[in-house]
This record gives sequence, structure tokens and C-alpha cells, in this order.
Amino acid sequence: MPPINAAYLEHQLKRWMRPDAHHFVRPDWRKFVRPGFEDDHPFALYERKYRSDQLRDDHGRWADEGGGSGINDSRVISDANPDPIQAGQQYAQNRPRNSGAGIGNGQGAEPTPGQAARLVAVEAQARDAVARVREFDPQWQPTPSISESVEGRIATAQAEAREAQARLSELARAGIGPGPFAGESIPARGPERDFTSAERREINRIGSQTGCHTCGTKDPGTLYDDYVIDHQIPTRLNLRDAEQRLYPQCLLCSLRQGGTVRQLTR
Amino acid sequence: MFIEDVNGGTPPDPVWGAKILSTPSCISFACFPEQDGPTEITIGSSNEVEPGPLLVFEGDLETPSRKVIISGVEIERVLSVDVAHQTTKVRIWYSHPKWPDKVTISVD
Repeated sequence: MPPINAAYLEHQLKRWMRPDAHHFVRPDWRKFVRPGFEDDHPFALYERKYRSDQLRDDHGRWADEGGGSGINDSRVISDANPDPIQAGQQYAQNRPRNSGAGIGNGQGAEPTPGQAARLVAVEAQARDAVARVREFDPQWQPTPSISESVEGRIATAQAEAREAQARLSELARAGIGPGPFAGESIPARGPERDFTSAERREINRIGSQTGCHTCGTKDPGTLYDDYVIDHQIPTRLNLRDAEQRLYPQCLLCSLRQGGTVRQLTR
Repeated sequence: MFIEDVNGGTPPDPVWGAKILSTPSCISFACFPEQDGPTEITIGSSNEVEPGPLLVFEGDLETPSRKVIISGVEIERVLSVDVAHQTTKVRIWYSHPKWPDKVTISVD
């Protein structure tokens, strides 16, 4: 027999533990149960828990109709308060809705396993995208928003991920990070700009094929048509001392990159 | 390169294709491409420096500390000079319109 999906089991448990779980019991359930065993069946518990014609006493409490039912039956969970309400007593926590652990779908019901899984996935994507932006722009924040429902939180996380991707694209167009025209690159020996002739030849070869990694132009704009050798991540932004690679860049994109790096580091 | 007060200024928004940009507190200017050769930068008062052939910038710079520095993206401080006022008139000359290997700066 194949194992039962854990998410399915969890859903069923929550379903049958609900206060209104008796609604899931079909009225003719007894005809599906072996005769003589109806009273021991779990569905009988839900019957005993609630019946609209259940006998109640003057205080609203279920009254014993015989056969082990009612308030004295240890199998029954009564929803009637046995004690009268007293003024000034606290009967519930004054905790704001949706605070702390737990998520809801805004209608007071538990989220479906699908919703919960989607939320976990999109929030992870948003976190990763924001972290990627902050490698280059430590002060960047996505636009703040408020959402109460689980679908709202999913939408918020998706929007944050899109916003972070847009910021990464904007930075790439300014020379922060490999640009939209980036192709081959070579490893950087270090942050210094003491490039060897072989490195310069290789960068020029790459540039002749794919152009400036930021704007794509095949005109480097320099005196002898040598591409600017560009460190990525730019050295001034490489706070984690990550491994850098070298890309061909044109002079104008290099100048703009310098201004952008200066803005990000001030 | 950047010209600003020793305590820093607000760098200008980079514009693709622009060699010189400025804000009231910071001036950025392009130099000779480093892979093509070095750039000679001279800074001083107008009666100390010899103007170059091309005046490419003239404007005022906020210098509340009365000390101006020239720095690069990856170099904290290349040159520094004391100035007399909290607002300094700055002029920049290039030796070449496209590939200036000499940049002269006067501060008054």
C-alpha cells in the first residue's frame, strides 16, 4: 500500500477537528456501517456533539437523553459554557488578528496546503532577490505594503521579487553587475588593474564578438580601440571579497559606472 | 575623478556619454583612458596653474571645510588643496576634447 501524502493527512486532521465538522457527516452514514457497530463509529461522536434538536436545560447546556450522551459523556465536547458569564472576567486573549504564528486566508479559515506552499516559495524568491540587490546597493528596500490575507501576502512577495529584479536590471544597465550583453569573461587575478598583455588581448577578443557587456557597442571609444577591462562585481562594491571576473566595456559605460558606484558607496 | 569638499559631497547622477557633470557639492570629470596611458592632473589657484587649451567647466563648488580633494572611484584621495572660501570658483581645462591626458583645475 503506498504511503499516504502527509499534507493530505494534515488537511484531514484539521478538517475533522473543526467545531463544525459534523457538517461533513452525511445524514445516512449508518447504512455504510456494519450493523451493531454504529454507536462505536466516529461519526456517532459528531452526531452526539451537535444536533439541532438536542435536549438542553434551562442554561442552554445539553441535557442527558440517556445512552451515555450529553454533558456527562466523556466522549462529548460541549460547546456550552457551564459557568455564567461574569462581568470583568477575561475569556479570550486580546491578540490582534494575524499576529504571531499562523496564517489565514482572510475569511477566518486555515490556508490550503497549496496556498501555504506557494507562500513559502514566493517569500523565499523575494528574499533571495532582495539579497542579490543588496550585494550592490546595501540601502535598497522594496516598496513597503500591508497585506492580511494569505493571497495578499503571496501577491506582496511576488511584487517584491519583481521590484528587486527590476532594480537588478537597472543596475546592470548602469554597469553594476554583468550587463545585458555580457558573454564570455575571464577570471580576475585580483582587484588591481595591473592587467597583462594576454588579459588585454583576451578581453579585446571577447569584445570583438559580444561588444561592451553593458551597452553592446563594438566601438570601445578609446584611443587605440582597446576595451576597458571591467571588474564584476565592481571592486568598490565587492564588500564580501567575492571572486571577480573581467568583462569588456566601452569607455562611456565605464564612466557612467564610476558615477553609479560613487553614488552607491556614499 | 571627483572634485569635492574634504568632508564629501553629493555625486552627480551619472549620464551616459557625459564627460563632466556636477552638483553644487561635487564635480565629476573624465580622464584619459587608463589603458591608453596616464593622466596628469594639476590643481591650484588661478595664478598658480597654466590654463589648458580647452575650458570645459566653470562653476561654483560648496567647500564648507575650505579644503578641496580630488578622488577616484577606487582611490580615496589623489590630490588636496586648501581654499580661501566656503564657496569656491572652479575652472577645468582639458588638453584634448576626447582624450585629455592633461587636466588643469583652478580653484579660487
